[in-house]
Amino acid sequence: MNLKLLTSATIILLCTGLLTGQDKIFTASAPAVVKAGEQFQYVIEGSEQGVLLLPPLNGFQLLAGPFSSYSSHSQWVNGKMTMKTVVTYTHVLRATAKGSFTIPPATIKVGRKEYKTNKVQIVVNEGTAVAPLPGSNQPADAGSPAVAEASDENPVFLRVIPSRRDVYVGEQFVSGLKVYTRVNTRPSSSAKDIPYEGFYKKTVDPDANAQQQDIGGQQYITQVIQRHILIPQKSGEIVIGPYESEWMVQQRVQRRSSNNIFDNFFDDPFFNGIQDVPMKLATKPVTIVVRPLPPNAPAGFTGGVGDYSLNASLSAGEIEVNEALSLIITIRGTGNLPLLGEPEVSLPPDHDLYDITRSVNTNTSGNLINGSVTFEYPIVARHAGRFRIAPVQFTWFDPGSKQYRTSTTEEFTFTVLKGESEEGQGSVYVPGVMHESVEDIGTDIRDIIRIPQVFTPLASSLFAKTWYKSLYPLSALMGILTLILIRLGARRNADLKLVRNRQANRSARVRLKKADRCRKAEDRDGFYEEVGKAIWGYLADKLNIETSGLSRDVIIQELDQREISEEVRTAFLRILDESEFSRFAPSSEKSEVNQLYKDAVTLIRNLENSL
Amino acid sequence: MKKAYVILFVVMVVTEVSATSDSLYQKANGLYQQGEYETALNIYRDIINAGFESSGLYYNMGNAAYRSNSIGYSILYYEKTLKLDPSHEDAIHNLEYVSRYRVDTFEQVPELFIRSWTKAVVRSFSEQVWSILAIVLFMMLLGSVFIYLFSQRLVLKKAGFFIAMIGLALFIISLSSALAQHRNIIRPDAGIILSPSVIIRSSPSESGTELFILHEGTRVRVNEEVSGWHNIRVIDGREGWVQVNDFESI
Repeated sequence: MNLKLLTSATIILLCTGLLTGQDKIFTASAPAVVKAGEQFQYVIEGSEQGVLLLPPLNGFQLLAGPFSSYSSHSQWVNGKMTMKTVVTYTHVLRATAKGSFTIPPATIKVGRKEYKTNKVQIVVNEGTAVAPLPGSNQPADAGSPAVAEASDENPVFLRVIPSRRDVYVGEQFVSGLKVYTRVNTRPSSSAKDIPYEGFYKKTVDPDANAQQQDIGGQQYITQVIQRHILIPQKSGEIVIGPYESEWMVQQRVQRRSSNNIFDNFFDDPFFNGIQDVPMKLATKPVTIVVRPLPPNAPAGFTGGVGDYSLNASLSAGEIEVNEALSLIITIRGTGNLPLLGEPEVSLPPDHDLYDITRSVNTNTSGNLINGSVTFEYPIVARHAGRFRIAPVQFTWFDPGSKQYRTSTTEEFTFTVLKGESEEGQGSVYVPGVMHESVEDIGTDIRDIIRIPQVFTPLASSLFAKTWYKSLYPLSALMGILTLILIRLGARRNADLKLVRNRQANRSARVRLKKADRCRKAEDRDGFYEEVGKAIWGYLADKLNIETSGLSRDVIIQELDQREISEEVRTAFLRILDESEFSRFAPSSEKSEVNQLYKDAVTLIRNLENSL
Repeated sequence: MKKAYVILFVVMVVTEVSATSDSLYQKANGLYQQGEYETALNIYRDIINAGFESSGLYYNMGNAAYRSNSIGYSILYYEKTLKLDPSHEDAIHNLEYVSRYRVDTFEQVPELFIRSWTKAVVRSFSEQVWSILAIVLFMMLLGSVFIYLFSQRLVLKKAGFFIAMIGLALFIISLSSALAQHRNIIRPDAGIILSPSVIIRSSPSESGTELFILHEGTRVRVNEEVSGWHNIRVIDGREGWVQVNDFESI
């Protein structure tokens, strides 16, 4: 960074007018009305260089000047060259008292000729004291330390001048490093940036030109040599500096006096050397009060402070499964753009979100960070269907109105198609084949029951009901009644022999029914056959013997085993014999037949009783 | 004839009240749907105040209380649901879910396994079901005793004996479970702390030494009562006295 200092020397260019026929008019100009204490320019403009003789400036103080500047341009028109030259002499004056003053004509000597300018009338109003110091970014309260610093011991000093001293976290402001000097000075090569701790900083161009400023009646040349846009990162009181840097300051060096003749000769002020002396300059600490943002930031706040607008779009409305689409969110405006966090996006379930890319595009025109930040959310769909992305909310703090502002995008919908690739051969992913366990997206209580209820009186207890309790003795009583009834029935059936007899009689009769029928029909053969069959059949059933294995011996053996009385056994054998032999004996009477039938009945009854 | 009229009148009144309960229930459900949880809860309470209850009603009240950020009441109402219907799955789920927001946690004193088994058996059915089971088993028991006593055939006699033995065992279980549930209804022995935080004291008065602090939603065993103070016992075995309005019985 080079410091261009203006020198107060007047550069005299010898110039003889090429075209003497030109009119030489010099005009002086100055504002018609100024305030007391105010600086203003008194400019003399002419067409030729010359020696300027200023008139006495009553009521004004010459602060600087004259600075002369010279410009010329030439033109060829129809083979004829015209040349125009403009020379200006600029003076910086200050009104010391109020009233109406006149600056008499100034005289310019060009060669041997003398030209006079017009006179200038200036009315000086009552101004605000002598204190006001015009200058860029000059805070009002910066005046007092400056006056203290501006002394003969301090022909050069540095100051950090922030544009604001009371900001919110994340609110941007400008801070400049300004040098004030009354002598020729330049920074030594190792001039570094101010380390602004606790701030995000962005360097912007410093002033290209120097300015002049009056501090405590002393004229200083000032220039902003470093300028940064700062964004506080934390709340509280942040102190900037002190910042030190090394400068080379031109100083007049008094030579050592001695008796040496040469030395004495060179002791003349003319030969007093001017030397660059290294000097350490330090800024005074500057305190910035950083306020925290108001609490209870609404949803969607990601640290944005400034003035923003939100814009979002989907890269595609329709994709295939396993393809990607992007949600692009652009935040545009002025503020702490490089520090913005990405807005939260709630994806439909079953979608993968990949790394969010973020591109910042800012400029610093007007000493403010403005531009845009673009967030790109790459989304990969895993299943076909129609999905929606909930509206994205972006909230920022507006330090101007001191409140949060929220901007919301519209809702996005997109369709995921079943891709062709997945149906093709060798595709890894086939829907319906891949199984996934159901994932919990959120948890909550289950919903209420809406089916109509069966309301019961409070604290109702079935157990306590009288009718319920009476069920126990009732059923016991029923049981006892049943018991009595069964007992009575048993007594009636007590004569077991009688019953059995009855049953045996019934059994015999059933068995001999057919024989009886033959007897009545006087079918003798049939009768005997049926009696035999009945007796064999009855015994077969009763003794549980297969008909095939039935023989006289077997039956006798069985009957003996059961201890059947001799009488019955004999009767049995007799009837069996009779029924067999009578079939072939023709001399059988009807009475015999009847007797046999009776005997058979008796036999079966007896067997029934004893078996 | 007069008696018949009286019965008819009582039936009509009961159905009338039941009808208003139904409409209140539907109205409260609608309000719940709209997110007016506290109003819904108050209407559900009107049904209770009219003297009626149902497991679904308590369950919905639990939901409404939870949605109006009242953890203590939601736990209370889910417990009440489970008292009426011990196998109410939604209530079991929600009670477990809501219990996460309870402040107090305890080192549970391990219970004798037989005790927890007994509890589990008793809680497996409601009082009504146990009562019905008990009477049915009692009748079965009588029947099988008769079969044993009067059957001529040995197989039936044996079957009757075994059925009678099993029936007797089951009858005793059902009857005692029904009795336990019945006692629980008549005089509940558990309660839920409803005050956000409450100091448990060593004696039933304000001057009692402060023992420990319980928070909303904690289940306690409620023992004897002395002039508006209840002796309570926490699951970890701690005991103390608490005022009646700091908790509600399940």
